[in-house]
Amino acid sequence: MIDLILGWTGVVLVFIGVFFLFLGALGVFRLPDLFNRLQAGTKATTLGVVSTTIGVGLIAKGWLIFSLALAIFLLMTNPISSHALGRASYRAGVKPYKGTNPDLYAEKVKKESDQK
Amino acid sequence: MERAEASSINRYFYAVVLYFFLWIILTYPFSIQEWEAGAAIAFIAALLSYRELSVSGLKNIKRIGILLFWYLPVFIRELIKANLHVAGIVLNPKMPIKPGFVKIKTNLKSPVARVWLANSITLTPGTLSVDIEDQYIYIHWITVGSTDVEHASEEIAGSFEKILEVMFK
Amino acid sequence: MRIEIPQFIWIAWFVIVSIATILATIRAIIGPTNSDRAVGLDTWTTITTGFWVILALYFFQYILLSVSMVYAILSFLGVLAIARYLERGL
Repeated sequence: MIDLILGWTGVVLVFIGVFFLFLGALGVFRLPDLFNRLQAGTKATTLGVVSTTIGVGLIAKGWLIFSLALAIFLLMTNPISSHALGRASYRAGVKPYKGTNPDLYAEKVKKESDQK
Repeated sequence: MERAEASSINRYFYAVVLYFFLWIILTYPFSIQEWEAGAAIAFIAALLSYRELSVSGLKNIKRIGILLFWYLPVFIRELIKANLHVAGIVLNPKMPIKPGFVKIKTNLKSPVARVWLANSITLTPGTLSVDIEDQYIYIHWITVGSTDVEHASEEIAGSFEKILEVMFK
Repeated sequence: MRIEIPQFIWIAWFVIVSIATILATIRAIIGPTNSDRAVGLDTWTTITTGFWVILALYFFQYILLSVSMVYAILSFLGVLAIARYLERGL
C-alpha cells in the first residue's frame, strides 16, 4: 500500500518535472535575448530535472538515496554554469535586448576594458 | 585566498568524514566490505586534498544542519515561486518582460557565503546573478522592480542573507 | 521493484521530453551568436540528464542512474570550458 502511494506521488513528480523541462526549452526558444533565455533555461530546467530525479527515486525502491545525491549535485552546479555563461557572453560583446533598462553592468564592463 | 580558520587536523578529519559519506551514498546497496574499502580510500584521498577542500574544517557539519532544516525549506518555496513566474511569462503569448541589470549590496564577508548567496539569487523569481565584485553583485532582473541599490538588495536578497549570515558566522 | 506504470504515461513522458530536446536543439542551431548556441547547449544537456534518469527507470537498470550522474558532471565541466573560451579565447 505504502509503495503504491509513494509510487504514484513519484509519477506525479516526474510529470511536473517533464513539464518544466518542456517550459524551459520553450523559454529558451521564444524569449528575445540571451539573458532572458538564460533565466528561463536555468530556473525551469533545474526544477524540472530535480523533480524528475526525485520522482524516479520514489517510484523505484532503493534508488532514493542516489537520486537525492544527483538532485543536490544538479541544484548546486546548474546556477554556476549559467552564471559563467551570462558573464562570459556579456564580456564577449553580446548586446542585451533593446528594452533593457537600466543597464548598470555596462558601466563596470566599460571601466574594466578601459583599464586594460 | 582566504586564510585557514581551523587547524590542519580538523580540516583533515572533515575531509575524511565527507569522502566516506560520499562513498557510502555512491555505492548504495550497503555491505560491510564496501565500507572497509571506502574507509581506507577516504583516509588516503583526504590526505591528498584536505588543503583545497575547506577552510573551516568540522564546523561545516553544523552548517550542513542549518542548511537542511532552515535554508532548504525557504529555498524550495522560492524555487517553486520562481518557476511559476517563469511559466507565467513563457506561456503568455505577449511575454510581459521588462529586463534590466541592477546592482545589489551584500554584507556577507566570507567568499563562500557570497557564492551561496549568488547561487540562491539565480534560482529565485526573475533574477540571475551575472557578476560579483567585492560587496556588489550585478543582477539581471527580468521584471525590474526598483533600481535603487538599497531597495533592490532588500527585495532580492533579504530572506537569504539573514540565513547565510547565521550560517557563516 | 517498481509499481506498474501504464503505457500511455511512458509515451507522454517521452514525447514531452523529445519536444523539449528539439526546441533546445533548434535554438542551438539558429542562435544568432555563439553565446546563444552555448545557452541552447546548456539547456540541452540538462534536459538530457533528465532523459537519462527516465530511461534508467524504463529499462530498470540501476547502473544507468550512475551514467546520468557522470553525464551531469561532464556537461557541467563542458559548459564551464565553453564559457571560459567565450570570455577570453582558448
